[in-house]
Amino acid sequence: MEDIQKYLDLFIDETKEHLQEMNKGLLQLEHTPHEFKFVEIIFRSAHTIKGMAATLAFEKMASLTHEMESVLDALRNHSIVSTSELMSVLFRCVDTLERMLSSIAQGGTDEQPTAALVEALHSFIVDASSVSIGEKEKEGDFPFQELDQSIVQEAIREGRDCYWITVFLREDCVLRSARAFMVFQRLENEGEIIKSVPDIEKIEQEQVEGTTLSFLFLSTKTQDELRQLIEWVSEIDSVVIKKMTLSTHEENRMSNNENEVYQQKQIVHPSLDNKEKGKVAGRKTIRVDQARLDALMNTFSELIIERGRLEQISTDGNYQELQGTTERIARITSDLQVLILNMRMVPIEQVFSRFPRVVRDLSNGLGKQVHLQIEGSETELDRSLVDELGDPLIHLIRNALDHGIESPTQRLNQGKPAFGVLTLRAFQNGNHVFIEVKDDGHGIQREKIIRKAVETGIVVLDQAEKMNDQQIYSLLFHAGFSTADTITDVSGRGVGMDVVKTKVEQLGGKISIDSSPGKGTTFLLELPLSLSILPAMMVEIGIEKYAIPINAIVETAVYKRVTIQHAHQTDVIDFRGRIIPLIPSYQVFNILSWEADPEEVAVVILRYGEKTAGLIVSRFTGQQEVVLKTLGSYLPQVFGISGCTILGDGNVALVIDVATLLA
Amino acid sequence: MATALIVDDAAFMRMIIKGILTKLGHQVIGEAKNGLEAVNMYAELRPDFVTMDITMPEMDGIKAAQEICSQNPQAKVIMCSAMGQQQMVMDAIRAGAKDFVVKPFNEERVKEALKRVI
Repeated sequence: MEDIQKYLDLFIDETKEHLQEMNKGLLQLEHTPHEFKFVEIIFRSAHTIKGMAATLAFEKMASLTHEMESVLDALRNHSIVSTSELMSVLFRCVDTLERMLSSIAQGGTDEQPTAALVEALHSFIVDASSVSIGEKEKEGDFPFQELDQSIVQEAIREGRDCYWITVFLREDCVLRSARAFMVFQRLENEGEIIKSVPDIEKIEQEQVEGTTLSFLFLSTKTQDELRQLIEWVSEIDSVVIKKMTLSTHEENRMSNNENEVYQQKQIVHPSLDNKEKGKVAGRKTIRVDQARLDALMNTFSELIIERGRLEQISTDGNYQELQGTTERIARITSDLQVLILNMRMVPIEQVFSRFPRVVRDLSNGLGKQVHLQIEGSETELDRSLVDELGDPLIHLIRNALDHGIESPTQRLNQGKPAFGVLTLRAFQNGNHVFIEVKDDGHGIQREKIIRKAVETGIVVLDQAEKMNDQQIYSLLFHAGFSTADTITDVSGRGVGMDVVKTKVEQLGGKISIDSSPGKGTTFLLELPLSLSILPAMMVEIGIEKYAIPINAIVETAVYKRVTIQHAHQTDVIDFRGRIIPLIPSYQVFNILSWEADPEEVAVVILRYGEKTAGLIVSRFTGQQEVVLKTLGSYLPQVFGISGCTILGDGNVALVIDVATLLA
Repeated sequence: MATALIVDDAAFMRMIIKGILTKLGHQVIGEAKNGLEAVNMYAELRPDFVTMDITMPEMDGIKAAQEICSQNPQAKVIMCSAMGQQQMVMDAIRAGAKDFVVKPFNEERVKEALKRVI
């Protein structure tokens, strides 16, 4: 049983990655329909998913990917051309596969309606075959360029034949560049290669990745001779040779124009980060189970605890030699800490990668035209942050598309280009990672915000008028705030910005807004670079253990019960001349084992921003460094708790969220 | 049925290749353990084809292939490469090698390569 789970886990992980690749490839293909390398990428992912699904007997998934393969194969064979309808169907197929995977991940099956999609996929191929494909002599559509055209025309007039040759290497061919080189070399000896895809530089620099090679080739040799010549090279799956004629060439010019028209119809041009395209191919990585990294982190945090005790013992006992070793251990464990934390760093690309698709779908749905620009996707941050950032960022994106960027007509009326630009930028500065979500829409209208805030009772009018722009913008983060005139399905429900803010703060970060009316809005998230090991004070409330981040603690004290006063319906105490409220932790956290001492009460004085309060505890049990972990998906937001940690003795302590407790 | 010269610095590998070639019906008439030996033995034995490993002491496979092919334009040298040696394979092809097979060998691949070459 456990074995199957391991296979399933790996299957889910890998399929998820491949589905992402497919989405990315489809977007790229949509953007540049004649770049067949993208078809190759999508085909390969579909093929891999098919294999894995079939192995685990997920029949529906396997057959859907199989159907996709047929269409993709026809595409790369140039038997059919890509149209916006075809792209749509392919996108929907990927969505269905995602739903299947999601269901499988939750213990279900791959059962999803696929009949309509399969029929649609079939229709593309049937249409194509009815346009007389026949033998390999079919005239193809080649992305001619002006210069190519004239060379070809000339050559044909001179009596040389012009061929468009597509060579398919076997899928399991390992040294593809070397094979490509051999094919290139053999062709070169028998004629003139006008154009090759990939070009010879790529081949010689070992950058051939797909299994398709294309050549525009002039020669006096016959088709059969050429076929024999090429098929002599090992590891070739098939060769398609198309002879070009002058009239074909005219048709190709026309089909090129069609492509242009098609491109203008596109609503979204997801533009991928330039740095991403030139990603270092040679980066050696190794897949590590996330659970193992967590285990490593846990074990390390226990080591930190023992180090603390060791340091204590060595100072108490005054053993000189021991002190020396203890100091060295402290240095080494610090280094280890940095190393381990770095291992948990992943590029933010993992979060950003789903956004082009989101932007495309959303802008289609809203009738807006948006250009998404992503920068700095190689910026790294802690793995756990990456998991949590997806949702808030998507919300900000939705917000920008829904409320920020205007419709194309509105934009044109303002003299702006019809396409809005949404920029997602990530960068590191000092100990923080910054993520910027910026749009060039109509910015935040101060008046509108004030009106809505007053309406929902968040502020009073004259208060609002006195606020500066920054303060007005921050009103957006209030719960219950929404300026949508009609609640669109996307983001108008008034639950959103405040959730984003809370989430970001929970991750230890901050969020700020800046805006320029008419020009656009920028959201800036600032996040800690890595999850620090928090120095915390350990307390017990009843028999339960809690950890309080030291940077929120002012002091600890024991108060005599008689000194507790009562005001505004809460107990209060006098702390250094100030009256501060006492927080009855046992009530807030519903601690049943609480026993009040009749004489005294132990209090931890907490501070967050301007607010100070005393938290009642049973006893103080010491200080230690603590690794903050989330409560996980089973427990919904728990008031006043930011997470938990595992102690050296194996017990769990809850970590107190001072910010929300004092708010 | 053809005669073969096997070149590899590891006796184990030579044994494996010899096994495959013999099974395919060919006759191994010589074994060399580095490029220098290979060049000399080629001149002496004149095999129908050569299987050539790439990394070897004294003289590597590419140099040896170059020597043999330039002295004997009709020589049929097949490179035996590992996955990370793509650039070297291309160099060998430029130098005159006819084909290459990637390790670990399987009979099918070797058979396919030989079919073209002999």
